Amino acid sequence: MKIKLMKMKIRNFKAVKEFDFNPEGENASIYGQMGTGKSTIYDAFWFALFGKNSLGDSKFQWKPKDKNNESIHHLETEIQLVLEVNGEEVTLSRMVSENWVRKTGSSNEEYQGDVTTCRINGLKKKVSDYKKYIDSLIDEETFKQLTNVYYFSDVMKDKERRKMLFELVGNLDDNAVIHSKKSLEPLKEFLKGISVDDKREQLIEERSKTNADIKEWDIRIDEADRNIPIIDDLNEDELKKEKEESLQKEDSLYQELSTLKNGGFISKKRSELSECDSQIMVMKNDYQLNIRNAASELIEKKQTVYSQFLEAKNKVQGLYTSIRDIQGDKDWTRKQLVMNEKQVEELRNEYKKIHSKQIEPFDEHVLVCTYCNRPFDEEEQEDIQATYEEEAKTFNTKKAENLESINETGKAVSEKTTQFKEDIEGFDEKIEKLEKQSEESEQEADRLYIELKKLERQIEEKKTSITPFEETEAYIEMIQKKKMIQSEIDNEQQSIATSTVGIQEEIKEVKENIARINEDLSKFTSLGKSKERKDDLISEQKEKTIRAGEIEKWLFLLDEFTRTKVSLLTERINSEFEITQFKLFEPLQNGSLKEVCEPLFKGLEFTGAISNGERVNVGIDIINTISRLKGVHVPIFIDNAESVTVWHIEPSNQAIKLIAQEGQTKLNIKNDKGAA
Amino acid sequence: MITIDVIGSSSKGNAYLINEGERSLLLEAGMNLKGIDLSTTDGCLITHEHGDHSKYAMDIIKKTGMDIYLSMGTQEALQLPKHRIKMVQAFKEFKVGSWLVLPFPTEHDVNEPLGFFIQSKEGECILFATDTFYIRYTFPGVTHMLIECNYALDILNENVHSGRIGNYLKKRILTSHFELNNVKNFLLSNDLSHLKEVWLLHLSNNNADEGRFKKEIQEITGIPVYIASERKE
Repeated sequence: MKIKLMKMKIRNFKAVKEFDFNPEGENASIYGQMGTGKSTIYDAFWFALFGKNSLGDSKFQWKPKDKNNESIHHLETEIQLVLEVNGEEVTLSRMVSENWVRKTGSSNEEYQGDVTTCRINGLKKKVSDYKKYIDSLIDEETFKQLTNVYYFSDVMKDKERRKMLFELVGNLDDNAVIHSKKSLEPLKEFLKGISVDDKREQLIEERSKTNADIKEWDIRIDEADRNIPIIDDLNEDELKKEKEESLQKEDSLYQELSTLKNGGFISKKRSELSECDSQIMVMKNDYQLNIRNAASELIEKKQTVYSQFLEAKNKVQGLYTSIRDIQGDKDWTRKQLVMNEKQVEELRNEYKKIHSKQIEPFDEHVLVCTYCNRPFDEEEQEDIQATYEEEAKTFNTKKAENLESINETGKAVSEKTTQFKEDIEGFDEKIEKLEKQSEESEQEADRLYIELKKLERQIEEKKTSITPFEETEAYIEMIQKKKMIQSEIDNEQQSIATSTVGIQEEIKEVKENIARINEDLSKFTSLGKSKERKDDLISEQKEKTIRAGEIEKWLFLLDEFTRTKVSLLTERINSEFEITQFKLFEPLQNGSLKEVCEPLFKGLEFTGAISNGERVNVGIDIINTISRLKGVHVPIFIDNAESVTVWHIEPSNQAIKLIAQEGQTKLNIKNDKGAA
Repeated sequence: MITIDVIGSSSKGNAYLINEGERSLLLEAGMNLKGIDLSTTDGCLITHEHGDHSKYAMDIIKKTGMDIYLSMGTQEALQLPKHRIKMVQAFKEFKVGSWLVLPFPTEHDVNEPLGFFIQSKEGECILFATDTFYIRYTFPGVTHMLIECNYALDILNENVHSGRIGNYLKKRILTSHFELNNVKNFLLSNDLSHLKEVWLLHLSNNNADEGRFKKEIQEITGIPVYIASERKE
């Protein structure tokens, strides 16, 4: 895109009532003293295209003013530009007029705002279409960059400047930087697509964490060190050996103790003792057996005599029994006899009594009434007589019969009495005979008894004639042996009691020793653990320190990378400019770089450090480069061009220099030769 | 096959890497080791407490996993973290990785300075002695002699004469650094039949002459002699 300013017509714009400027695509210089409207021309150029002033402000006061600094109304403002766009002329115009409306019934007109009329090649266009057309030629931003020598360095922000430069010149790929230097090669693998700055930031963060960790680990290691028990005076191997020995000693002591307690010796002696007892029993039995054998004949005899004696005794007894029985019979018979004699007596008395009894002689009185004493009549007398006689006869008969029965009973009784008397005699005979027999038997028993006693005495004599077993030599020997064994047992028990105490004390000592050794040994275990802990911590810390070293190494390489990149980039960008150099990076304390974009002239910074004229030169240089790289060429307006004493560089586009000149009260235009 | 890598060898700073195949051993910690790969270094031996031999010890402790080997006297002066150092004693052999090291006393104006007689896995023997005005011992089968050769007495005297060097400093140099002729005498008192390389270390700026020193040592040893100088980027 190549745009040149051919003609410019200004009407009623700011202080300019009417002005024609016809550079015809060539360079031009406009001279004028302060306030003559040099800048107004640049503003008008802008106004025509964008409806704004050169600072991009659309609200600026462009209306002409009267002496009282009031806007003059009812004026038409118009800027007309004739441009050559890629070799073809285009006429653009922007006209603004005020809109006054008379309201019905009112004599006054009222201001209703402005009306803008845009034309392209004389044809009226909607403002929006006009804008579209201008935009198609050139965007406002580029227009600013290319028409104003100060815009890039003064108005644009660092970041924007930088961005634009890199867009125009092309950024440098990190890989290209890495390949530019052999020492940077490891970065290719290391970065793996992460940006250098991100990686650096990441490493710096990790570094501070790692360093903090290393310090933290110092503290932990110190702590672990303090926890290690002091065992300078101990030797683990010796302790283990000592423990082994102590355990063995303890074992053997326990064995000794248990042998003592279970008493091998005592139990042997005890069994010897009971052996003695059973021997004594056997001896005693044998002895008694011998003695019994010696008296056996007498004893047998004694037994025979004894049984004979018993027999005799029995016989006597039997006889006595028989005698008593017969005596009993005799007594009974005698009693019967007595009773018979008594009966006889009684019978005799009965007889006498009955015999003596006589019927009463007849009493005459009976023939007289007892009451009236008159004798009964004869018949009655006779009857009375007859009854009496009858009674006398019955009486006599009964008497006779009684007497006869008594005689009969008396005869049987007397017969029995005789029998009894005979029996008693027989009994007496028997008794006498038996008594004689019994006396004989008793005599026999007495004789046997005497013999028995004699035999017993003999046996006793025989027995007592032998030494009692308890006094035999063999027995006494045995007893002495037993006593000896017992005393041995007693002694042994005594000595066991003593030595048990000793051994138990020894065991206690050994146990205490083992406990002490264990305690010392446990120090080694905890020592081992503490040492292990400390070693672990140390190796953990070492890993961290190794990592710290690696981080350092990579940061070093990243810095190297950045230095390389800076010099490559700066070189590359600066090569696009003739007199300008750029400071693109500012080193920061942490080794990274701040991205800046400061134009330099002879090493001095654009802002402040160089003169205005130099700034203009730098501005031209920059515009030339941007224009070339973008392929956009527009007229450049160089305000304050009077400050440039040396033109280090010529603008490559059509240049309109606005030059302040004292005493030049009216604008004076000079067309210069040699526009691009 | 041993290679010697000199990182620094002067009163500004001393550090040497002895390499054998994959592994290496660092001698002295008097140089900034930034940018030097120590990931395969087994340990660092320090001869004595002076800053030009020790000032980056803490850096090594903080940036690598290796331990530092030094005498009790040196540790008393440096006070490095206890858990990252190994205190060694003269004539008590110790191992660092596969390196076998025998420390021996040297003669310097500090507490318990040491030199090191180092045997590599392959059996090569490196003698490392610096900042000592004399060595009382001889060593068998040395293949690599890394030895201080600080000054020549005649040059020193001349410098004193011309006023370049004060008498006090001269006195100090005489009792703390190895002089050319003494180095030669020391070399000659050892069995040099296995010697492959001599490295002259710690040459004084003012009192030495690289070319002359190299030539004089070559004359008596007949093997390559190198002057240790600071590594260049």
